[in-house]
Amino acid sequence: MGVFSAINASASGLTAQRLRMDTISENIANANTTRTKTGGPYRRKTVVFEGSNDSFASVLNTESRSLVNGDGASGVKVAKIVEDLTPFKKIYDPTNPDADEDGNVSSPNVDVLTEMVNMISATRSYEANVTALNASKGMAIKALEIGK
Amino acid sequence: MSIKLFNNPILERALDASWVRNEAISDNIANIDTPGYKRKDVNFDDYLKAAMNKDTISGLVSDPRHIKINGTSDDSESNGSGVSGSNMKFTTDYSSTSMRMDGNNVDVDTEMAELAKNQILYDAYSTLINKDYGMLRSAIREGR
Repeated sequence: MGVFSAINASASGLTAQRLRMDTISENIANANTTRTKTGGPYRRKTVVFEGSNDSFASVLNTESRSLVNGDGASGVKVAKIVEDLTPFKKIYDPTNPDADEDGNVSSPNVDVLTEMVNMISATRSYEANVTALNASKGMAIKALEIGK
Repeated sequence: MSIKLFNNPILERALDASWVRNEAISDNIANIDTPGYKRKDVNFDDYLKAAMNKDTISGLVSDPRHIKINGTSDDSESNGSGVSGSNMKFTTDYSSTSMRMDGNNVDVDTEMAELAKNQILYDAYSTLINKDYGMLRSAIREGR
């Protein structure tokens, strides 16, 4: 039951959703990229979210602290950014310099429509976290007014 | 006659509970997109209701060596009618049905509604406490 643990949880949510948004932007920007540093076309990236208290150390820490002053909100974190391993799209375009001998070009496994939908979802989640943060802030300010 | 100066421990406890509940709801909202996350809540209201109604049977203590059965002992009276901080723990809610494939059972609409409700409750509790102090102040100034 810390003073700012609710605000910290909301802030971690904001950070996570913003990173998700960055990843989606990168995917959309590279929807047609056929050459990357590693060779081959661009691979779609996604973020993996996990509750902050999933590791053994943090569970132990939370549980031992909760005996004294109750368990606090732990928020969310981005565990890793993973590459989508679905096969690349084959598009017939013999004029493309990256076409193989059959005239097919391997293009990124990015579906712009999916990315747009995910972007809406990320935006809404971000807004929900902003609302929660404002609620926590309002409550803290209200508490400061007690006894005035 | 013993009148405590700050004599509303239930209100303070309710304020605390509302604060902890806000933490739980914020955590739920932060974890909207976390696979396998189960929503958390604080079931303070039930404890408070039970403590205030006192609809439980209690054993009569006629000897100091008797074991108390749901009685109002002095120590439970001092921290707000048996409502102690240990009741304000997060409980994980596995019950609500999840329509989602990732095992997450957070419903944004419910959480936002709970958030708004909780904030209003917090405001109400803090206003009540303010009124309490206002009355004290009024008494100290002899009504002036």
